[in-house]
Amino acid sequence: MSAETDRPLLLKMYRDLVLTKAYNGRLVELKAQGKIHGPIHQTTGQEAVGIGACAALRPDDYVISTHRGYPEWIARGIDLKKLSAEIFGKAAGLCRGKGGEMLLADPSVGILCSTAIIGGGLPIGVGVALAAKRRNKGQVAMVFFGEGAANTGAFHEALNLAAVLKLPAIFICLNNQWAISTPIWIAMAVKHVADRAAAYGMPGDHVDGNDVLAMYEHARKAVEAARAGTGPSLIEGETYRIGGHSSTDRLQGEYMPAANVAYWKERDPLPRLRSHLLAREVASEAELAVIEAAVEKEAAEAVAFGLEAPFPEPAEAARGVFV
Amino acid sequence: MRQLTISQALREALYEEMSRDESVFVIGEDIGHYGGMFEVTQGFLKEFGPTRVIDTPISEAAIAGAAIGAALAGMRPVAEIMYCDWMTLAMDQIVNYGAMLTYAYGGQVKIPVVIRTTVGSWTVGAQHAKSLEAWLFHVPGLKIVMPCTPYDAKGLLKSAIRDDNPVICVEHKMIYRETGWVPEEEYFVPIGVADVKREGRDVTVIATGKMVLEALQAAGDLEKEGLSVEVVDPRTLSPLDTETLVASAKKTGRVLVVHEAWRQGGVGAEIAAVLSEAAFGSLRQPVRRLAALDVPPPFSPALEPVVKPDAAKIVAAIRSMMV
Repeated sequence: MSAETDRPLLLKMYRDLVLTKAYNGRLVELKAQGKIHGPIHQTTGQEAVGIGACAALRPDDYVISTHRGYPEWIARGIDLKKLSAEIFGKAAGLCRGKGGEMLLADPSVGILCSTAIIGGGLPIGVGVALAAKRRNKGQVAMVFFGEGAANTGAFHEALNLAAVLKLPAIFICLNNQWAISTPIWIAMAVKHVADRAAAYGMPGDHVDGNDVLAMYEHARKAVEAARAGTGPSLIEGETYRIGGHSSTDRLQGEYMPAANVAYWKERDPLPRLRSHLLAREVASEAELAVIEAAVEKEAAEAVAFGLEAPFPEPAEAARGVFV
Repeated sequence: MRQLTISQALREALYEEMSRDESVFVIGEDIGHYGGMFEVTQGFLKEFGPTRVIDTPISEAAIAGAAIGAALAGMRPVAEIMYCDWMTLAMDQIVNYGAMLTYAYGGQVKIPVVIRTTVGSWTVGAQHAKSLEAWLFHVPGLKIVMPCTPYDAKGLLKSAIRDDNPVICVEHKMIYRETGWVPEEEYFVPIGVADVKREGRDVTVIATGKMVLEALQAAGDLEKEGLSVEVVDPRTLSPLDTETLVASAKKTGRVLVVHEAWRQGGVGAEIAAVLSEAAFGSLRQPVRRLAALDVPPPFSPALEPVVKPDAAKIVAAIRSMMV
């Protein structure tokens, strides 16, 4: 069955896209209303990279993610209520409120590390892939990072080490073209992040990051190759950050050329998938409406849970440095 | 009991732990074919094979990060950063991941990683000669052991490998060939327990690493003058066995702290503060510190001894404390 008509796969990706928009959108609003602590990183228009890529994974695969990781967290099946509680710093959070949006994990769905230090997750991901290879069960490590991370030393060391050790690592670059206020065209001397893969002796794909099916297809091939033992690969999903970097961006993306933003808004991944589903008769309007209603409810309940959950006791601050 | 060198003792510890537990592996520069810069992993590549004895490119961030990532995913790596001076290149991984994730992720993960490194000067110049344990000592979430005898080295490294938390094993590069008695049967030295290496009544010397050996020599010299010097080796820097240190301070009333690291902000400063808080009433004089001059380690053999403590300087310091 081709991915283009694989109904369960497509409906899952549709649901994930709608949910990421609904959930992340609510958090952005709440933050703007001053109702939550901590930064919120918006994922508007960038959801397909993580959702398409993660659709190629098995439940026992690993994911290393970033501060903007909502698409991959949701695609992997993170408990959205516990995620909300974590983002709001509550005791019922995944990390007891001690990590927050920018430093969290959910090992129960394979998310061993999510981090906000740009590039830092890459060497960690290499280690996870090393363990996966030792265990010899065909597991892979999918390591997400932004295009800004492609200029860090950690990126270079990680890709090189993964290549020389032939590790089952799939490096997924969310190229949304902006690192806070720094656009990719002043930060890199080569045009595409994927161009760098050859320098490490691994395949590198440059993909339309807003085409969730294309992301899935490329990721599927890379994952299969990794499972077969042929080593790591790099996939660059080119997308665009619609809006500012996060709630901390005092200019909220005003520095971004309006023409670019308008161009990419037309290419949002959700309407594209929706059109595809209807055109290929994979689902009807009525069926999609059912998914959309369920997602709205789920997002609302998760956010409400997080808002109502209590904060941790002060004594929690001194606990848990060691196991 | 038999005589082993520190290098042999560390090798035995690693060998026993790797033989016992398949998830233990070593990773670092020149540890495989070469057998380790200081011979600690001599013969390991042949015995355990390349999947468990991993020679890496020059990539300290990736070495540390991959070890931490592999630990996150269930392995028990022992990584080597050949000279602590290059720990600087791995600090993001060690501090922002290794030390923090157990706490920040609310106890969802454990990181059973050991990072071995060397300290101490040996006439090769400032970038291969420092003692940077104080940097790591400052960070909650890392255990730090610093053995200076074969008995302690084997026992502490075994304990470090069995510990489910990150442990840094700090080895002095000039004492790998020091010999000492090591039992035939298996034993452990617990982390967090100091050792009174020589009992005395008149003055306490708290020393670390090679300075323990210098202090013992000084104590032997001073015994001929009728002075009774107690030498206490913390063995673990973090967590510090303050109980043993305080007991000795209360017993003698005079304390000299000696380390090869720089004076300003060295571990000795913390020990002095702790003793001031806990043993003030018993102290006849302020806690004294003998440490390296606060300058980069000079290369010339005429200058290097000038900046470091040694047995003669310890003797002089103690004499000046006895007036």
